[in-house]
Amino acid sequence: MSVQEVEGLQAALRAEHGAIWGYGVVGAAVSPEARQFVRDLDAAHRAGRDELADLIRLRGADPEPAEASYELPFPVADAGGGLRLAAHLEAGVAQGYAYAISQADTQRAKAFSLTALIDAALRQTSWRQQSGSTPISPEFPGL
Amino acid sequence: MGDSRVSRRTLLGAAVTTAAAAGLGGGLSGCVPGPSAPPAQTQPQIDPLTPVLRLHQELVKRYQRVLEAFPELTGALTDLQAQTTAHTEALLAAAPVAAAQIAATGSGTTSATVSSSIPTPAPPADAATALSNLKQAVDASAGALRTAALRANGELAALLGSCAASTTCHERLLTT
Repeated sequence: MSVQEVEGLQAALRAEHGAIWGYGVVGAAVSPEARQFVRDLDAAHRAGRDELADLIRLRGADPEPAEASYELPFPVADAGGGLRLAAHLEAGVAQGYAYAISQADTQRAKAFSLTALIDAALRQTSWRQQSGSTPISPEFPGL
Repeated sequence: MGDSRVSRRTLLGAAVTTAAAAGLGGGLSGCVPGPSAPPAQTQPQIDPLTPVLRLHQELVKRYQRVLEAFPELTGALTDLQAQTTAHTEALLAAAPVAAAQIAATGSGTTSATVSSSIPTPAPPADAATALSNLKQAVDASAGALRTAALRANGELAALLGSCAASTTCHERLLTT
């Protein structure tokens, strides 16, 4: 394990913090039918955050805390905006984990980050499909 | 096929050298080769990424075959094929050793190695069967990319992971 690996995990953690905050906005914007899905994904991101915090602590560092609030990339005024924001959040999470993979020098960190990157890409695809965006799936998620 | 001939000649050369070395050493059991012994010739190493990239290349061709046979699938498959092509190009650029081996071997030994890991392409009877076969090939390529990402390091690992993630999304889209 190295300083670079911790830096990569911290980047993924920052992305998870942002996604957890952002899904609060998404949940308020999307249709009632989509809210359970949002709650499930919020729980998944909280689990990812906690796992990352453990990995960072195991490496002798302190996990970076969440910001008090974050700036939205665009105004979210309706359900469509919520779907687009959700896809944007997952793209950001994928970016954090792709960076973590590039910095990892242990199999545990790399395997965890790879699984999380794939999960984020799948969720991004799901949101893009719901919002009617094309192409539906990201070409190079996280990069 | 000239490339295959070169490949076979290389393998034969290695076999001849090994036999010659065995003959020289036959009466000298227990001796290590002396300074005058011919240097041991090893078989060229196949880069671990070569079969992975070949698999993805073959996936692009498989998309093309399905699209030619079933134009009604164009809407569903065009973006997936384009992204798979983009993955292949990016990986070839990022893995020059594998790219050189693929260029050198053509459809030779590397292809034989890869072909054992994917279903044998058969003319699809209908669109549903073609999609099912395609999905299996996509799944195999995604798995190979995931494994390769875990073995690689740095930016190459991230690129492989990203391609694995995108290909996993394709597999999911072909399922639904």
